[in-house]
Amino acid sequence: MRPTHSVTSGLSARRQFWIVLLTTAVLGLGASQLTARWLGFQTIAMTPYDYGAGAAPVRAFAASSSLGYYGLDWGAIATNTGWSIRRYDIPAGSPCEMEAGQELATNATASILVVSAFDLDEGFFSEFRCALVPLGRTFQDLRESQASWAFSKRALSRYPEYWLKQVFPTAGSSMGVLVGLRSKAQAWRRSGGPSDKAVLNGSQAQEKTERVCDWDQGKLLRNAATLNASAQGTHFYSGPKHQSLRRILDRARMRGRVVVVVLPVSPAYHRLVGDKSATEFETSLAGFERDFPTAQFVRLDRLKGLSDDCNFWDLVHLNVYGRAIATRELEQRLAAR
Amino acid sequence: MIFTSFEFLIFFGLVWSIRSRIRSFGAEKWFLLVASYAFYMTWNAPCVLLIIGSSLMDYTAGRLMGSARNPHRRRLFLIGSVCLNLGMLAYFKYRNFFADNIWTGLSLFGLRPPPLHFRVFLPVGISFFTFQSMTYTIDVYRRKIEPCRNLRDFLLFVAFFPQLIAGPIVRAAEFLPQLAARRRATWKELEGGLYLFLLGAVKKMVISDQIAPQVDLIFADPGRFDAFTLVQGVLGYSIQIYCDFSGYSDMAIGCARILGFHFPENFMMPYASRNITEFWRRWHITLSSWLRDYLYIPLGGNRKGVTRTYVNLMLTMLLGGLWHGASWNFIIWGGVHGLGLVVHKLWCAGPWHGWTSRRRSPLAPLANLCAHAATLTLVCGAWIFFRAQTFPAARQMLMSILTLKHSGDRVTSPFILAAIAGVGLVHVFQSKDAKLHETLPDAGLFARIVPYAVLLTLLALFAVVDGAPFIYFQF
Repeated sequence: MRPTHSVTSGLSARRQFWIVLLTTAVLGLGASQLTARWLGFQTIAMTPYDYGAGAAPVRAFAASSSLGYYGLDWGAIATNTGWSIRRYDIPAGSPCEMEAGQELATNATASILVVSAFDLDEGFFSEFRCALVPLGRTFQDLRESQASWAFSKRALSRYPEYWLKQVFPTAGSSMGVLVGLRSKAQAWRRSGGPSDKAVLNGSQAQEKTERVCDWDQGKLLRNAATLNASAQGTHFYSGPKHQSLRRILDRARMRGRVVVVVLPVSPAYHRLVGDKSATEFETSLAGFERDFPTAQFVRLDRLKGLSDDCNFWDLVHLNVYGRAIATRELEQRLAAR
Repeated sequence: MIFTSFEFLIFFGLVWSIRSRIRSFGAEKWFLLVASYAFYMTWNAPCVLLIIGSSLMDYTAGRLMGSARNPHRRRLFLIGSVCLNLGMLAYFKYRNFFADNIWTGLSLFGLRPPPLHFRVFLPVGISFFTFQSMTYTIDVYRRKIEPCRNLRDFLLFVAFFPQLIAGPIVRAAEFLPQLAARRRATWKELEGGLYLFLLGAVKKMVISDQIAPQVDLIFADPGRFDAFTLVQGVLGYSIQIYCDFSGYSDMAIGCARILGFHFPENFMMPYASRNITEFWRRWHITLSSWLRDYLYIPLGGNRKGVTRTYVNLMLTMLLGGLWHGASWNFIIWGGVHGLGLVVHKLWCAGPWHGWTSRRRSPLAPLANLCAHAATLTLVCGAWIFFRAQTFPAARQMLMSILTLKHSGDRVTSPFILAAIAGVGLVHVFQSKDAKLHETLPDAGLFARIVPYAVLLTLLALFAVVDGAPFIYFQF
């Protein structure tokens, strides 16, 4: 590089360049970090929640994505079944990430795995996959599932994105930022001012009373388009998630009782992904049911009372009404066996 | 390997750092050539033979023209080169289009031959590198440049990776001289290049990719939406294609600048144009200047009378539309622009033009506003044909908008509205002739840090990582 001397500032062009570059990077980094903190971005990949008495006869390991967090009342389940449940909550989690929780639950005598057509859809990636799934395992799963080159690139590019997130926590999470900003704006309007923690924490599971059936067509189409775009329009069930679920069920059955809870997704979501995807999902589940006959598959997605957009607060998450129905049904099924 | 991917950042970083350490200038050029072919091979490995073959062909044609004394022989070599290039383009890009239209034409006469449909494989960037290569042979024929005597340099001119896939279409006269002497970016050029790369990434990942799902939704089934939604879709696509393509160009020019090479501008705030002629001086500048210099002017330009001028304009724009894709929709798009150019020429020739164009005319501000509005309406309306999946869909969309259709679903996309507001504000406050990548590095530290930090923050907060490929890759 040929250094030139700046006339205006007395600093050489080289020095100016580095000052500008580093200051820009620091400012961008600072903005990302501050925004993530202000919006309450989750930085912990896997959060354990304990329900029930510690000395219960059944110590269950449970894992779910946010669908399980919103869709089931775990406290009630633990109370009514008498089980002690340690549930690992993983945002947008799937069996790929659940394996990490299973590895920690060494003293579990039962396993409850909460999945859905959304969770098992290979087109969707948890932003915490790279924190929980080693790169080597992803390579192996992609190879064994004979994933396409395009999908493999997508899956592997998550790793450098994850490393970038260590300094820029909002990188690749534009939807999270936008949703967070909207929530802040809504909370501000409701509370009439800043820093109302009770209001700002209004995304607790028990607060979700919104119903998809109340959405206008425009909102429905917009949300469907955004969700479909995040999967790049690809929906299939024979990739790394499938491989992981098989491994989890293998390990779980050696520990004791295995319960696989299949949560529903909204009819609007089904219309989005189409019948071909639904058929593939059923085929995939049928394979697991056949290969793991001792596992109890609780198909809440087949429950007639839940198949209604009014039971969902967005395209995939059950609202308080749906959760009540799902929880009651699960308790009955657990007690029956 | 697209510019917004991690693998490209790693690739580019490696290229830049290895190249800086190569002592020999010749070896450096070989390295850049191999890196460029490797870059292309990530798209489709066998097609690199196509680029090499095309380059060898044009290099040979140039050398033969240079040594030929007989003007007829020189012309023959030129015709051969042009025919081979266009033939390659026609074979890969247009054979099904021609076959379908010939079949349709024969059907009109009652003939029903078996339909011919070829399994088409379109090499990435073929429209760009064939046009780029033709600038060399045509300019050699016109004696604007000397034939290139170094095969490596010529191969690098055609295949240089920043512009290989989707332009800008860099002419031989602009690029070959840059290979004559070793180049290194100055600190200011490096800064300018990084700024362009960052700006392009923001345009693509923050604006274009955020609104793409909403635009795709509207264009996928335009019949179900009301006029308000359709207008959003059209405006959204206008923003999307501008940010996508100009973003790509910015990143390409920025990469070249970081490596010490200068590419021509490809976009100069086209939506700030007051008329369609100005629009084509600001939109895809390298293509429009190519069409002007190698098609419009050889056809006669404006030197053969008024009627012939209009015919030449229409023909140029129709072929320009066809260049974009093998579909009548693209030809119609080109035709709409051609018609707009003709109308503008007629307007400029009329007496009313003087009343409104004079700066002191009281009608000037209103005329400017009307001119902007009319230009934007024409351009955005033409995008309907460019984007719609079929001609009936485009026609339906246009009619629904013109008749202010009330029935149908209404979608209000905050993304599209925000993008319109954001891009609109930039067009209002920024000079349309500003070349910030050249002027910013000379500004004070604070004046540089603020815009760079804003761009980086926008990228960190709002970039879509899993976005769609660049739109112009399909051309």
